[in-house]
Amino acid sequence: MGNAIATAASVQDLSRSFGDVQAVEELSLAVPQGTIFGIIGPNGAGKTTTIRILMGILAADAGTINVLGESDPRRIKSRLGYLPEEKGLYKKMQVGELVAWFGELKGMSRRDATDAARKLLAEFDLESRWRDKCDSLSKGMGQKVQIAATLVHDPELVVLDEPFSGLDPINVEMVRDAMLALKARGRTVILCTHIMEQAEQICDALALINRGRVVLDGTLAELTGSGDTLTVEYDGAGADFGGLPGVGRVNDAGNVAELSLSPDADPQAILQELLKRVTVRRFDTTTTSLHEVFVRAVREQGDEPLVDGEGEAA
Amino acid sequence: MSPRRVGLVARREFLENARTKAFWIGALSVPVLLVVTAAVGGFFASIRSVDTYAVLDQSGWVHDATRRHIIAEDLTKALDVIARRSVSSPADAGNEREALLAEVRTAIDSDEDRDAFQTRAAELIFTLATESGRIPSPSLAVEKFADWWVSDVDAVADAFGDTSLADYRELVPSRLDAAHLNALIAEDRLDGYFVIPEDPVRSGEGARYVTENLTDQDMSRWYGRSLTDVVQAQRLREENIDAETAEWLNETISFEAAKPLGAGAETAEDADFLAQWAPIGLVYLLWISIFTINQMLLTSTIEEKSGKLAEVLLSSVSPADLMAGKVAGIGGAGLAIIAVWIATFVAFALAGLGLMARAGADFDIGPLLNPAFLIGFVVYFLLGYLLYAAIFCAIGSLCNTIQDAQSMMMPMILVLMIPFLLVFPVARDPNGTLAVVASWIPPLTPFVMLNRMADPPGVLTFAGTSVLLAASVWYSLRIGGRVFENGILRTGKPPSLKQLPSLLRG
Repeated sequence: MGNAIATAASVQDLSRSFGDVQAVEELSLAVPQGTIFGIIGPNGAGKTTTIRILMGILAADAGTINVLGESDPRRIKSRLGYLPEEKGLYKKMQVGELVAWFGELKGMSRRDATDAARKLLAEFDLESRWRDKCDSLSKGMGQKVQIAATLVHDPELVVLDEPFSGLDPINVEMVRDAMLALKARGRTVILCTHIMEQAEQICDALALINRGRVVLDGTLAELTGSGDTLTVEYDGAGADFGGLPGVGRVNDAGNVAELSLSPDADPQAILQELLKRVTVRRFDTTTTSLHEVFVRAVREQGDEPLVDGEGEAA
Repeated sequence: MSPRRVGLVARREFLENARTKAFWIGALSVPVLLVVTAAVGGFFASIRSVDTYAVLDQSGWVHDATRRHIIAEDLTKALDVIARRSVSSPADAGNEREALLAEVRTAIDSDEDRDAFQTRAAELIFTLATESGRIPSPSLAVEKFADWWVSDVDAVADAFGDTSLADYRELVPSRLDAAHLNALIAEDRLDGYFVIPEDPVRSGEGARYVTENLTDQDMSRWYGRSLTDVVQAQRLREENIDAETAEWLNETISFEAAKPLGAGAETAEDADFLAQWAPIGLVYLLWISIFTINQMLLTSTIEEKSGKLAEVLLSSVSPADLMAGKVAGIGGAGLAIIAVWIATFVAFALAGLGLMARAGADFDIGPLLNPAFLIGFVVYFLLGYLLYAAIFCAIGSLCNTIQDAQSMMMPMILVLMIPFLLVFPVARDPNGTLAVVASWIPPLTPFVMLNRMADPPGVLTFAGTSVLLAASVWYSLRIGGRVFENGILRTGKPPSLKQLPSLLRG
């Protein structure tokens, strides 16, 4: 990323441990302003610790932080919005009352918070549930109410930790639209997820984290490149993709395989060889998936990707 | 710390609690309990049956003497009530019975008048009762009173609930023999009868109480006491011992309680005894209040943690704001409950006082409403609540379930039992070594010092223990706040004792 781009948030050499567990180690990243920035990595990689520090919920053991020009995020909590991974609602509060209350906590007057809550709940098709108690909502509706509570004060920087979990496809689209609308208004969104496909679809730039360190960062185009992967859909279980000319790593999912190509690989030669082994239904040159980029980057550093949950911090 | 955010958290906590059933059950439990107790008491009083008795007097004179004795005792009680009673209002004056009582009150103006009135009334009542007659046209107050006493026994029993008429009535049957009395018992028209032997002065052998209900001996004891007085008086007479000598012989020595006052001593009255014991009730109320409200705080903290709310809250408020708001909001909800309790208690006490005054009883509940006790209660509640709130909040922040909290609370429960166990020892000796030492132990200070207010120690003791308590509150909030801050986002099982120091460091 170029230095000319303004950053909404950045951390430099950030470290934080919990007892013997080093959750984050000398981690550095910069979030460009007005973008949707993905922090990607398996569970336990250090994403949540990083964003808790960015939100002023946790203190860092070492490193420097800058959030919206402020070195101590606790001073600007009213300019930040945070949807944590573990989401909960006050069960006995009414939906409208809860969203407005969070607005008040962020410094809004009661009237402004109530007006903003009404508007936001209408956008999420929840206007009719204003007086319903939160424990009467479905999981998806509860999730949308939490997102509304996160956005009610129109924060400049929003961190959404796994915002799509528990949502059906229609609501996923609704939340994605809300994120894009924020970006369109010049707000910065940090999307934290372990599902790389989601990040690929929506993020402008990303940081890939493994074992508390950034293993790769950049724009999506920078990270995934172009045309260096073959996607093959095929019939024939237990296919052998070994020894294909110009093919490095193979990510075989059973009916679909991703083949990483070396720079001098010839796709036509590979196709001819493949036709001898399986029935090919689709043969496509694509960009490298984030998953593949992540795995490669970790291996290049002589490490293995963290299995989900392996490094969960206390 | 942001007062605005603390206020917002406190408001939410207060409203959330105020909307729960538990809050209303808690707030209304004492009023409902008092109303139910009063109603049930009133109901049982209203359905209380009056036991009937008859007497087979083989001596020929003892029962008559006993009757006179009982009438004299009842009259003493009734005239006491009338002497204390104010019947000067126009509404009362318009009531026939009140007018009669006012007339009697005038007639027994002095002690001598009263003795004379009582003697005359007793004679008239005895005559009327034994002859089942009425005074044709009573004109004197004593005649009207005796006539009313005999002709409207139920009204007399209502007016003078302390007299034996409220509980026992003599039945004078047409035939006085065992067979007839047994038949009356069988028909449920008589509860029991007494058989007085021929010469009870010589020996009580042969005295019997015949009844179907052998478990209820109240009436037998009551009649037996009066009869014994009569027989003993006769024995003294036969031995030529005059009444005064007999009284002197039987006199026991009892120490009259008194309070030191200036150069001498002042006799202790009922109010003084009440003042001595009044703080005990307040100490129990304080104990229940502090731990009930802190239990609410513990539950709320655990719910917030297990409900995954803590993290989103901490992105808006600091841990200190969150804890302070919770402590204030739930403390406010608890105070509201206590305010309802106290208001109900005061209302009942005043209503009871009014009723007692109307009934002629002279009882001073001033000591219960002593402002010093109430101020002490509020101050020690606030300090005690805050001291323990920090600990309960800290424990709640480390636990995911109430079950987790229960095991962590065990040492706390042992500490909490100490003030409970100290209530009576401290009340008995408010300035003893135990009370003095316990006053300076901060977790016990609120309870022990409130208890000692019956016989207050010096201002320096109050000031010193309060400063120490306030310092402990500050320290407790600091330490509790640190644990809360580090514990509220913890996942997994509660920390072991070994891990606790790391939570204090952060």
